[in-house]
Amino acid sequence: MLKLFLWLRYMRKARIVLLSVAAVAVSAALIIVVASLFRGFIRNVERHSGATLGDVCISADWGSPIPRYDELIEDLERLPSVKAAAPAIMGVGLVHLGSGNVQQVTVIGIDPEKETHVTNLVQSLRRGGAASGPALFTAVQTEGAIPAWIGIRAVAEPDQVTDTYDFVEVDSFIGKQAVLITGSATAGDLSTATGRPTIRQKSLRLEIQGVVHSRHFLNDQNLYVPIAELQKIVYPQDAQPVAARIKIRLAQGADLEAARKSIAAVWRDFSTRTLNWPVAKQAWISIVTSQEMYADYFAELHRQMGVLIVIFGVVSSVGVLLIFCIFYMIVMAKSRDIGIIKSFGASRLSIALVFLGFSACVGLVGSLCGVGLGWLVTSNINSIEGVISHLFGWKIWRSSVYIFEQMPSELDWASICWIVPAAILACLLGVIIPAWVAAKTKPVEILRYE
Amino acid sequence: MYKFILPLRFLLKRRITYLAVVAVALCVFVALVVMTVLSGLTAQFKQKAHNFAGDCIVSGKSLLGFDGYESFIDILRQQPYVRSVTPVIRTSALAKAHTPVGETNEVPREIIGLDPNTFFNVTGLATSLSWHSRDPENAFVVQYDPQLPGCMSGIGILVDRDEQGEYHLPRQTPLVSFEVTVLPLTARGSPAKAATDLVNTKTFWLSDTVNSGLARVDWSTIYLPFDQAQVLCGMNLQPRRTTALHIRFGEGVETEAGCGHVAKLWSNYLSQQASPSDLMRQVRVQSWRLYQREMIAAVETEQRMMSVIIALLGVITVFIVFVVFYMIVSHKSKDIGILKSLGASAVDVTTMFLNFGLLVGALGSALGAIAGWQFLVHINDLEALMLRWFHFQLWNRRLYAINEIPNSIYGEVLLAIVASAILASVLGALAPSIRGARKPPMQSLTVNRL
Repeated sequence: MLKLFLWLRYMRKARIVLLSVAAVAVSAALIIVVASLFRGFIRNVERHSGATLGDVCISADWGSPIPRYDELIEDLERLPSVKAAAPAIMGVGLVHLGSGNVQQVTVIGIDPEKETHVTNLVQSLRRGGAASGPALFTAVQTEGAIPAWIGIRAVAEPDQVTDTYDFVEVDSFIGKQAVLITGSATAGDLSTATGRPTIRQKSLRLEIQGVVHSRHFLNDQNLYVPIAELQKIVYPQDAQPVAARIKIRLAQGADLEAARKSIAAVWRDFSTRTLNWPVAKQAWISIVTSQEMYADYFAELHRQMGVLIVIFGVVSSVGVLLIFCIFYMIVMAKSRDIGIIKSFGASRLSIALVFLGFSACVGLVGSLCGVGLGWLVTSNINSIEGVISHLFGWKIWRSSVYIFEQMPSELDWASICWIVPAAILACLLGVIIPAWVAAKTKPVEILRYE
Repeated sequence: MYKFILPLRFLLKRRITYLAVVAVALCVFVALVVMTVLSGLTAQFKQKAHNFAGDCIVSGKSLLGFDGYESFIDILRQQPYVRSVTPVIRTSALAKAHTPVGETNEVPREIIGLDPNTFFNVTGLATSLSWHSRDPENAFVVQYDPQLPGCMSGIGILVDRDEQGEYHLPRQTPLVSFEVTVLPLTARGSPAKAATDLVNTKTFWLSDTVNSGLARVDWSTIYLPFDQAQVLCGMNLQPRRTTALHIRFGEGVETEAGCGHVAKLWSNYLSQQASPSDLMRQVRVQSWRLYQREMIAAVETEQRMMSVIIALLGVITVFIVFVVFYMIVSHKSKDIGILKSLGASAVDVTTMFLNFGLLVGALGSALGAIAGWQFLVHINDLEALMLRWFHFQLWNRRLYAINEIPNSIYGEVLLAIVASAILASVLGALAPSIRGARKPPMQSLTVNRL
């Protein structure tokens, strides 16, 4: 009871303690903001890969494409764990968008109707003012052209200062003609080992029907065309529909690992019975979760986050010294109180616990203030960044560097769970010596008249 | 004299002062290490960007380039401040590599068309060549068959870095060729081969690799002879066009001043033309920094952010010194009283404590700087040890275009850190000093205080 009373009293009366509370709060807030930004960035990448690739992907990137994919999709959609599946074909190309404007693009053949149920592509589509109804490729105005959606970065550059697009300029591309140059397999050139064709160039006339603004810098350079049209170029030998990837969205609450196993079983059955593929050929197909596709990248991001937190931890450790100084000062100032308490029979341990408990209170209050400060900064990080850009003219966060247009602004509670105890521990560490000094104090020396 | 003797005595006798010294030393150490590494990385990056581009770039606004460049090169060569000038063509292409084991998929590549006789005088890339570093003018000569059209590739296209950041290339040029496809454009920006298959495709055999140290360049660029690139891009028809002119200024010519001269020269040149084309009117003259501002701005922003965080360390140092001095001044109230009763003024007492603060700052800075210097000297050995023992690297060399961690201390960085640390110490000492100096001697020397 006496200890609690003294903690509260020191907390209220010793104003210098506020300095240590502030030091703990600033250090905790700093690490919370850094951890939240980094973790938010990683989470955004994960979310985005899930939103663009589905939860699980059957990938034929390194082998023959998957024929009769519509039948496979039907089989997959019968699984209770699968909500929907969509096919895709990939290629690369150069697109001529107007006078002197040639851009490198990744060309993706899609089925918009199926895509709607698996990815968020359709939600990020700008179709111009007149468009209504479901986002599908519509009939073209120019004979011989094929409909296309193009990534925003292919048609416009974000402003140097604000990092935002001029949407009037962006929308002006809708309805325009473009020319795509992409690789095409030539008849009779199909190679044997992996089934890869020899590539020759082919041009396609496009009609831009929409601009994709996914807010992901890398994906905003893609060009989307109907899968059937792209198949005619990339895999002209295949009369039946083929896909290089099947993107799968799982049903709400489905277990990822269990779903992957069922998908693998369906694929094995389909490739053996329907396609008659030998086991060696099946091995070219991989079934991975969207997270596994970028596992190396995520691992590197986590490592960099660790390095950064260690650096900030070292920076914050200077705060331990400050706490040591402040508590040493308090112990010196309160030596008479200590003498009196000891003369009433308090043990050394009790005296030490007064200061240790007091520092734990400082750590708790400081770290809670730090959480509040961290939350305030993190949740308003984009506004703060905007003010800095406005005042100093330099943009901290650019989509061309950090992929996303907005800084992550979610507080990372997982980090808070270890930062708060770490802050309290740091405070206890800083107060060990002052507490020991206080415990060793002899009342007879302190309280004598001379 | 006592203003200098007493601070020295306080420093030696009051052990709590060591804490302030340690705090200052720790802050200087952290700031020096972090800022040296970060400044080194930024400087390295800028140096590489400068090496890659030369001092000044005269460029068109789009891939169409501009005409009239040949006469302008002649004019530039007559200027005393210009050491060398070279035309460069930059465009996007699709390229496919053929190797003895097969061919790769077609991927988008950046193409740079250059004249080896002048390009390597403007840029600092000659020493980065793998097989022609001694005769860069023959960089496009294929070792095993000089009759073949040669090309260079960014080194990252050919081989990956190992975990030490080294590229391992064979002694002889490997048998690799690149099939390059470009969409040639007319001066008006429309496809030059609209009536046929739209593209120009040609195969080039690898003659060398370029290691610019810029990841984005080394992993995506193919270098072609200037005249061949001009033909592929459709820029060889009269009037011939180029995308840019890169200029290296003579010794002692300040970059911005040189660029100003070139801009004026271009303006004069333009006014002398009877009917300059639209492309010529759109030409921009930029320094290498401005030309690559997007890349450079990203690393500069990161350095700035880290500087702000390191500045927080300075604030914590101020508080630590404040607390330590508060304690010392409180304990030395009798000494202050005696000094003042002997005739010392309040300013003298303040000066004495500020000298003490200066001493603490200077000693802490010296210790921190020595520790930081020693740490930086061994930072690469430490990282190598960590890699060997824990498989941990600060930056994964397979992913980041960094060789050794930069450890050369910049004089201006060291000076700024030491000056800030001393200033922080003096600032921290200021308030306690004034408080001590303002105390009347009568108050501290009354019998009940003794």
